[in-house]
Amino acid sequence: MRVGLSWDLDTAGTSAAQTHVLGEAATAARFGYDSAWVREGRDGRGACSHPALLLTALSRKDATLQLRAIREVVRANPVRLAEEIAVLDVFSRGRAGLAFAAAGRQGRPPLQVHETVDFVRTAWAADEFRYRGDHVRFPTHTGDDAPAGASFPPARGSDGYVPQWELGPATPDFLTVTPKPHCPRPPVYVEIDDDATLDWAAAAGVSPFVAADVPADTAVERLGRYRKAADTAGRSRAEVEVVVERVIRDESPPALVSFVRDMHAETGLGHLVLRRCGAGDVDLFRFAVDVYPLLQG
Amino acid sequence: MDIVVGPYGMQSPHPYRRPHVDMYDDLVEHAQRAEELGFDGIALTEHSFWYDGYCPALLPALAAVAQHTETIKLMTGALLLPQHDPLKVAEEAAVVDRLSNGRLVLGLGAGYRPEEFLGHGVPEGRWGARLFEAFEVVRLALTEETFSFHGDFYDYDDVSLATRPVQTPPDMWICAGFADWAAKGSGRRGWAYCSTGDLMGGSTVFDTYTEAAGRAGVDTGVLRRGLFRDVLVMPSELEAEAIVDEDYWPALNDQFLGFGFLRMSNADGTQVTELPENMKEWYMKHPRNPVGTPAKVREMLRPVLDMDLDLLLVRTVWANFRHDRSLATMETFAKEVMPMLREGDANGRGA
Amino acid sequence: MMRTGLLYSIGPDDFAHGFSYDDALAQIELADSLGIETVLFGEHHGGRGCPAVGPLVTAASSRTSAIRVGAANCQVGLGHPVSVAEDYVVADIVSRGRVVLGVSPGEQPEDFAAAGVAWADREAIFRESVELIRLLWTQGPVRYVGEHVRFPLGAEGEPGWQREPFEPPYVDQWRRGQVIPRHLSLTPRPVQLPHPPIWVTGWRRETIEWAASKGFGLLVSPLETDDEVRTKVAWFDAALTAVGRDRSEVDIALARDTFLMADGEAARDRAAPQLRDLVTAVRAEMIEDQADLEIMQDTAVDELAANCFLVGSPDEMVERLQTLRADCGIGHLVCRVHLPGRAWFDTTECIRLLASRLATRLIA
Repeated sequence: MRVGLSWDLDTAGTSAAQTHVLGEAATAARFGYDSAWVREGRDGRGACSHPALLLTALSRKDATLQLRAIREVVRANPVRLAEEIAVLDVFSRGRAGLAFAAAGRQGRPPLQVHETVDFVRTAWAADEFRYRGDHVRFPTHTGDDAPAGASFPPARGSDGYVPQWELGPATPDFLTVTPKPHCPRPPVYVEIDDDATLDWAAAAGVSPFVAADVPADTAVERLGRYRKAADTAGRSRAEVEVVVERVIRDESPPALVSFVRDMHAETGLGHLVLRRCGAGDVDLFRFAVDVYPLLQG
Repeated sequence: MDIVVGPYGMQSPHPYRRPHVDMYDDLVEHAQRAEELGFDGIALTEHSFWYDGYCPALLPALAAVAQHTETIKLMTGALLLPQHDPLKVAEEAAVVDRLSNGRLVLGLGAGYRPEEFLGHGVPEGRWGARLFEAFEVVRLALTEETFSFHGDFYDYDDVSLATRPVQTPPDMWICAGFADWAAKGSGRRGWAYCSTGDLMGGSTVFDTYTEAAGRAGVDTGVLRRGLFRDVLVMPSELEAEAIVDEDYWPALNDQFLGFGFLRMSNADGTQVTELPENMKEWYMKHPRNPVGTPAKVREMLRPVLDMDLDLLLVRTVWANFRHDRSLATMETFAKEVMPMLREGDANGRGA
Repeated sequence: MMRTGLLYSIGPDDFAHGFSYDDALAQIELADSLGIETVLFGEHHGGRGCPAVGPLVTAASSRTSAIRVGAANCQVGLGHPVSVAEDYVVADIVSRGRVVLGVSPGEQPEDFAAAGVAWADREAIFRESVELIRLLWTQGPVRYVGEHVRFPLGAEGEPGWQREPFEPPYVDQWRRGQVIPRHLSLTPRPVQLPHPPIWVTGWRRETIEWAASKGFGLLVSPLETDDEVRTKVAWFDAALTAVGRDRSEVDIALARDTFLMADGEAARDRAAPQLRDLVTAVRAEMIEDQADLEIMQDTAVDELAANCFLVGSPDEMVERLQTLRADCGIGHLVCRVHLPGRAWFDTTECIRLLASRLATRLIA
């Protein structure tokens, strides 16, 4: 079991929240926690509309935490998203990852989330390409005659190859997004609140993420359904990480361990994320000593 | 006058390839060294969709540099604003400003490569107009508790950024080569203006800037002038020439022919594939690009002291991507050239 | 082909020419500093490769900072899959998440005979082993029951794998006493999530289609001509599409015997003796699955140099690779730049050219 921490700066309340997050994450890294998740927000005083920014700052404070940005697609330009997570990945030597909030929470159609994930994964994996979707079009002048989804330039054949730096002022129909991430394929997660996204994520091999405000029994039900859909699509459990975010306060260690191990057995939970809320949060040191070892092995 | 080293593009070009992860480590090291050497700031620059991995995300990178430095200013020089969502840039800027305790300097430019606009979902054309509008959006977002804005390209009603920057007002610059529209537009609005100098590197762009401000009734006292210089300083002429041949000119060659830095076509409209023979000599002797021994570079930079500058952006890294060499160049500049600039500086921090 | 790498098959034939592991590692350090992105080591139990690649991978990772390191063709069936999983977990940790594991069903019947593993069962053993490795890297305590592979030893029950059911109350592992475990978990866990990439290399169409259907990557060997590469990738693609997987999820890598000099003619002359030796050696070791390959026929080395090996000037190679990329979308190029008998200096110069004149042109 991996254990990480998450912060929703929207609700963190104070403008010192960002410094607090950096400090708490650095402490967590020293205690052997595995990951730091920062959720996009723009309402509270400490809100961070752009988690990759905090995570890039964090990447230089320790060398081990996996860094995960939880983003919405509402105002995220998918190209920028691919670029920013790639820079985070380079800066952190391959520790970046990207999670998407459920479409419903953002008032967007699920398809927009699906296309954004598909686009970002292609941008990291492919050279020059273009993309035609209902919500994502790259580059902008990609016409309706382009095939749906990603498409790639045809063979140049005997026309000869000219490197980009000798090409001159052209307006190419296919572009390559650079730099590429250090790790060729940073992990991508998506909240599975709506059925369309659940089925799509299971079939497309996108890891499920269940947020802290989803009740435990709903989480088990959703993840069970995800697994069934993934099995139908021929996807192995090993291809994805099941991530569940929880608010953990002062539950007794035995009760907590039973809860998590139960969840693990039922859903394949592989990555527990402790949502940090400020006052009343479980003590990081005590959790690391009393609970974390019991979740392993 | 603030002396800022950079901008760094984090490029791994074909004459000198390196792993990006190492280059970002170096960036932190360079920033720390620049701080020790007495530079006032370090700058990064962005472009997208270029094979060498040119940094496309400046504010996250600066957030990381902020963690390892104390006093040095962190500048985007330039962030190509029309290619971004300006409100998001403002949000990011506020966060970086907090993380760095008020050290962010936002240099904002338009960009000039069509593929970057198309790739980021921005229609071609009217980039200057977009820049000015977007600049105003960022400025309002970082200055006002709540703002509304209605322009040709951007539209906001009662927006307020919850996360506020440390600096009020924010330190913002228009960074835009030597184009006339940029000098005039910045002057009219009373915005700080960073330029490469005119075609010959001279100060006529600043005259245009000041006049435009005067005509628009802007108090010329608020104007701020920034200048960009590509500098290669080496112990001897011979070493400087070797580096020009090895690194500097090959990089410029790509920049001119492929990158879109200059748009050159033959008379029949076809693409220019070879630069004119005399171009290298012309460029390397250009007053905008001081190359040579410390004494020669001091001489070539002396005129900038008469330009009433608030900011001097010194790019020592680009001529010289190699990590150790560019660090050495930065040190030579700090020790051999900076004192002359400090002594002659009419705008504070002088002798 | 935006990521460019190296392939080293170093063995006794190299030692005879005075080329050591350390020499290879020094070249890899150079490649790392030049932004070359991957280095793989070839497993071979004769003169032309290393019999146990794991230690080389860890050694290479500790001397480098950015390059991804791994095995090209770890023959998981020859040993125990758990030790493979463990070796590469440690390498993944030492390298801070830079490991790639290339796996192969098996290459020489003699090696299987020596290891006491039935050659005829190699494919089935291979599939079960690779599945188990992936499970061990990603799951907690598991049990695996296959036809050939069982974990833990003696595991019984339904074929396939099963996670340990949880029956309260929970007892700490260190208080459970001497029970025979029915489920076990591998520790430590890899750094990369969900797990280090696994690339499958193999000759048979079934192997390739199986890899695609399970979502593993593909590494095409250096022995196949450009046209054979196209065919193989097409098999892989079709199988991928059939199960609804996307190309952006998996790596397709191409290994090539490579020798570059600024002057293409000189490169071909200089590389000819080592390539002739290579062709002689692979023909001598041909197995049934490879009988149809062009390289196994009487084809002259010159001809192979034009459509199989990458030998010449970077300019000459660019168009061939660009065409291949456009035809089948290869993501990684893995170049074997060293062969027994090749001069140290020639190889390092080749690495420099690869980094500055070829790799950059394959990005955009």
